[in-house]
Amino acid sequence: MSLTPFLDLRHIEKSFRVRGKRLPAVRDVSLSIREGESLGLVGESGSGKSTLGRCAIGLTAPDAGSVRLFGQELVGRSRRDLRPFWRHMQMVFQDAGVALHPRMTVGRNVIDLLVARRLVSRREGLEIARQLLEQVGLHADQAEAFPFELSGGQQQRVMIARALAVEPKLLICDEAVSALDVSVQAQMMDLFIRLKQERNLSYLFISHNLPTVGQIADRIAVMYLGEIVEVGTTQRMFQKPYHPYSKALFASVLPIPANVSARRELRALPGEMPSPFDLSRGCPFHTRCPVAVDRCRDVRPQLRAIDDDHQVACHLA
Amino acid sequence: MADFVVEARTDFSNDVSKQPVLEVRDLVVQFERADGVVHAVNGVDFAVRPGEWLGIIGESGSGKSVTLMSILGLLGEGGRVIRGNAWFNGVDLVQLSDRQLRTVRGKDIGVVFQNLAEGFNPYLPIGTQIAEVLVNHRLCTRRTAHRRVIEFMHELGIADAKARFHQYPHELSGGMRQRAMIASAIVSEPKVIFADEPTTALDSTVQMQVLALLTDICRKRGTAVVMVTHDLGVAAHTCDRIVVMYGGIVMEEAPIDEFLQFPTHPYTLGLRDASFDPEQPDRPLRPIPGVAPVLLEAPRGCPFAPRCHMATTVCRERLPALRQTRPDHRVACHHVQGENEHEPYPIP
Repeated sequence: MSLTPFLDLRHIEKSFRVRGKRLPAVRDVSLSIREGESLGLVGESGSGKSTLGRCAIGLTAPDAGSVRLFGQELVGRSRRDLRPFWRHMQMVFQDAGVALHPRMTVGRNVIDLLVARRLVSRREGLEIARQLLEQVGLHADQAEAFPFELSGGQQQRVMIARALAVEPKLLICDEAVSALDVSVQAQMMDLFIRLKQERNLSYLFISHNLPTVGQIADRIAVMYLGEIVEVGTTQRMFQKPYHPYSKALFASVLPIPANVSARRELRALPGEMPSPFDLSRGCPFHTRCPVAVDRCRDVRPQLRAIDDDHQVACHLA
Repeated sequence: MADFVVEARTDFSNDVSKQPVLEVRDLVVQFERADGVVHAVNGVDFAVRPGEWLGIIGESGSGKSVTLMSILGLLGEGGRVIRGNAWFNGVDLVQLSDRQLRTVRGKDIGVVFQNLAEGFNPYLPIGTQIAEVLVNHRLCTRRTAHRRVIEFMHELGIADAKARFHQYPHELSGGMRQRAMIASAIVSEPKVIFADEPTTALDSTVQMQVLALLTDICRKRGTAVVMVTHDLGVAAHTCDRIVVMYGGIVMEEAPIDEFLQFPTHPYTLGLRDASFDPEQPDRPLRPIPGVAPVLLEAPRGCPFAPRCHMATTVCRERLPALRQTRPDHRVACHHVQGENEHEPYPIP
């Protein structure tokens, strides 16, 4: 793994207009992914993680900030100008059933991007498709099938084969396994991990499901109300997170104890995520934080390094 | 808002004086489909004692949800209980008509489902819908119901319950709706609650809120719970006893402490190996290959045999009986030694 940032997001801001009001989705977020690294992005519904992922790949234009891939700025480019960059980054969404073209064979779906850009002939493409399908754990002959003939898990494998067709360096996965059955999820994660090792793929793995992220991520970033509150290595985040929100979040993943006396207390974080429409000054988490002091209500904490590879946005950390 | 800290639950498993509130015997459920008959549940036994929290675990397709649905008479099109009993309050629920079951469902047996938050009627205030449980089952007058529901919502940590009573489902957050769901399941003070993946669709911290709330309130009221889940961590932290199901049969059954210390069935061990351990995030997981099958004929051998790394000829040919392996611990596997046997079943 090299230390040069491969994808670098700086001070990303994005708001949406909802019923005439401004809804801030991402607020001043900076994040970088190194070559060959897998970064997990976790947070609950409405935390802004999907919007950030879409900004990273150029599907959503940020209001402010910069997105650099290999040092080249992506923000401000038209879709046409962005296309060459999509050879390096591909996205895998939650709902494969919708994303696949229903009247094209699986094989044609897989090489669609290549054929559309005239990078290969159809004949060459089909051979590539067959190889890719095998790599993602399907049969080469399933290239002749139509998407509706496949199960949800198989369709998601086709989506991954399709993303791999352009030989990207980074996959952005947005809840890529969340809609699948639990045993299929596990097999899917196996595939993602294998691809990471075999192809030195980087991931931006976005999910509300901490166990899935924990399996693949080298580092994990935690989002709350549009901000990143903590980033650290996976090991550290599960074992000793600093931010009070991360503590509650990671404690909610229950282990299988060795016996009944090793059970953890079920301690719930009180309250709910406040509405992003009326954000107050100060720390986004102060309304629910068990250790908040006056300063937390007035001054927004900045993300700062507290250790190698570990950053926290908390006045008290 | 109350601080939901839950103490370790009482272990009722050795208390023989407590008669089961629900006793399921040899339950067989099938579904008629265009392509044949699906053998979803193939002879399941279990009992729930008062105040006990029973966890039924397994993958989807293992028959765990169908078991609960069949007891409630909610099988839907093509589903039929072929044989077996579900004794509750001296009555066999399997024999009841739909009309008779309606007086039990929601009153004596409360129900919390995965997506029941969507089960609210969008055109009625939330409080009215919870109160309806009491009014429809003629437990009290509308006026009393109104008062009791507000007290109840307050107890469940729904702030400003008086105002919330009149709000519509879409005006509440997901977590609040789930709380309202729990309120409607428990407001009639049922003896037992059926909870089918009650936290699966929720965000992590909301999941924890709902679990803490549910364990807290059921412990206070002595309500028994039958919880269906695929999450071993959740089951391990809430249940008093575990039943592992696969292919519509019980694979393993034990009190929780025994289950955690001496997990035995290859399927149980497979589920554990496939579970993420937050204390060792680096440990590679080993998912069980394949998926739970749709059984279009009654299982002849062990239903898990096609996916089991220990399977031999006998596994494919003979259905293993559920046998006692240790005190109060039963396992259905040809390769596991019974308590008073020196050898496992002879393997031809």
